[in-house]
Amino acid sequence: MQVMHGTRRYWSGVGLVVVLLFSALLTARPVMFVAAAMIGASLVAYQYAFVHGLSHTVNELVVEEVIDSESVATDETTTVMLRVDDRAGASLALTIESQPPVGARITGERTVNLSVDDPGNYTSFEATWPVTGTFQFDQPHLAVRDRYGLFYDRVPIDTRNSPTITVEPRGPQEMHIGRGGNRIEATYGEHESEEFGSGLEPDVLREYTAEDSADRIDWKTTARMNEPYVREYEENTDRKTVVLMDTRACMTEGPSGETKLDYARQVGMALADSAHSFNDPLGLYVITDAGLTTRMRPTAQRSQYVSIRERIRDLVPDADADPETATLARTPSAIHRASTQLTDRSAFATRLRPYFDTSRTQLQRIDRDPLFRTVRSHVKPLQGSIWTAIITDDTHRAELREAVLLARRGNGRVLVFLAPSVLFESRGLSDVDEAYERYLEFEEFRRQLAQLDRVSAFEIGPDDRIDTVLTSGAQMHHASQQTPTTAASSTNPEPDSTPEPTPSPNANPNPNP
Amino acid sequence: MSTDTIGSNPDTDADGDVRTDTDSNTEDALSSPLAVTSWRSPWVWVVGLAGLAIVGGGLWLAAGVGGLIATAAIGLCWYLLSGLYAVAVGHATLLLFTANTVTPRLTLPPEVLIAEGGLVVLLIVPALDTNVPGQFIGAFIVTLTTLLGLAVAAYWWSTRLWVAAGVLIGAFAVVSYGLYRYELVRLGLIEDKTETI
Repeated sequence: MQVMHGTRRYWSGVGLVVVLLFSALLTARPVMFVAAAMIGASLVAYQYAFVHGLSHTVNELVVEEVIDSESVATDETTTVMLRVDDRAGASLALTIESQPPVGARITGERTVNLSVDDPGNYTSFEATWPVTGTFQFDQPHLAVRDRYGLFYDRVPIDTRNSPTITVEPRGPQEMHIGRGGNRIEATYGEHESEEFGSGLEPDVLREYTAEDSADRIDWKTTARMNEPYVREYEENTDRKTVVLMDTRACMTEGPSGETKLDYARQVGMALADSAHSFNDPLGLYVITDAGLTTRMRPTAQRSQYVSIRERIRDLVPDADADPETATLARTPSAIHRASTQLTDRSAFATRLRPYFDTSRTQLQRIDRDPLFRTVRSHVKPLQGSIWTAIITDDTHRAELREAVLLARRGNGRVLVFLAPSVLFESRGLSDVDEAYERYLEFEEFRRQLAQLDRVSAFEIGPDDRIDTVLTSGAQMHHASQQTPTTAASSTNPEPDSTPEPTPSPNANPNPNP
Repeated sequence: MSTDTIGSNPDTDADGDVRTDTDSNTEDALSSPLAVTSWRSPWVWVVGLAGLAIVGGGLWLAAGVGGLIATAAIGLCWYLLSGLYAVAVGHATLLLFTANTVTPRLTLPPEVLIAEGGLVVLLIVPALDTNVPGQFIGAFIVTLTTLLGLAVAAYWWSTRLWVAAGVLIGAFAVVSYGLYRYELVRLGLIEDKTETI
């Protein structure tokens, strides 16, 4: 906060007072006291007039600050207009300066000058936004100086509106969400509870039983059938949705602006928007290599949607940790089962036991996996039917599979969005044939997940790369394999592409079919 | 009419550095022009000259032709600088011309009182250029009365001039600071540091 300052002229006047007082002491003449008192009183009168004029001006000043867009992508430019009208017509010289957020790059004049002859004025300037986030303009500052040059002041001033702008990260240009290379479009609709109750949508008629309340009898049907009938209504419910965002180091793979996390972020924000549009309780858990860093239990409050969206938007990868690339072929339960059977001292058991000891280590690693631990500790204890959306990649396959199995508890459904590592690695698609084979491995894993009960698995990634893998890669692969009979089916690894509802970042998707 | 302009060149900032088109918004100082004018309304000229004439009358009574020459010097100060300097110069000449008549007693001869009246007019005439001339004059009179009253009281109490001088400058500081605090309150710039339990 800046406050009233005296200028050099003012302090010269104060100096005069002091000099006159000294001269009064030196000459012992009271007339110099009178001079000092007169000048001092004059300075006070000037100060009073300044304060009075300033407060009157602040009360009568109308300041409007308008921004042409409240949501932009990074490095985009917006136009800001600052309009000021001095209804008081103050005799002070006024300058009003806009106070954009520090992160903005400003081009143009952001100050408006007013005078007695020009009580209303405006300026417009351009602001470029290189940093993502939500930014609010500070109050404009009013700089004022009295006409005699004795005082100046700089104070924040209220505006009719305080512009706020949301800067979104630039998302990947070509977003693909689908299965086996087939893009899946979004679908929308009310989600049904699959339970009957006292909702609004009539569903079935059944005969009245003693357990039913009399007010549930459908009298028209009863009159028509000569038997008491009850009409069941479908119960509309809110669906709890939990989003698990993986931000581990493995999610940093990919070109700048098109990493796995960039694609995951788009899906996560689309899920948040979708849940918001349906007022579904929404929760968010952010996983890093160090463990869980964000825990937002599912609620349907507006502030929760906004917070989750902002949190997802501002996600940065946990780049300090080393990405683990090891995968497991067996599930922990299978490892446990097999190892417990090797209890005898036969040569067979002795030979195999070391391998399962290794698997025990892997089992322990799964137990330490941040995603698995998050599901076990935070998602599994949640009450009611939960839709769990896991947005990750295919690096930690065994751990992911276990986490998915755990997240299915109750009537919950699991949506898994997987970024295939082969599409993001730095060496790219230099060897298309190899990339194709690795994509098939990924697709096999995705299908294994999708075949689990109440689990849907989707791939996310750059559309052009998937096309490259599935066309050029398939041709080269089959040319080298010389097995044309399988080419057609390989191009579409999952022929039973029954459209399942899935989020699409381009169309405000809904995880709820 | 002449106008002094502070930092009026739009291509330079307050320090005179050339500004670029793309400007960071982190700078703190306002760079736009803030006009300070020495323009005076016709009534200020009329009343000011009348005050100057009163000063001239007092000084002529005190020193004859020399007083008129001193009045011209006072008028020049008022025209070129401000009423503050005119008052300072005026009292310096009063000190010279009335050396034989003004004593350390707290009384002033009539010619000095006349000149003082003219100097007061020079001091308060800028009130005509403000939106609140009455309040300006009122603030001046109240403050002048307070300062002089406190100084006289201090002199009577202590019979020492330096005590009176200290009281006068101290009272001036208190009044100025009080106005400063008053401004903060009027503009709502007081930060509430009260902790809610």
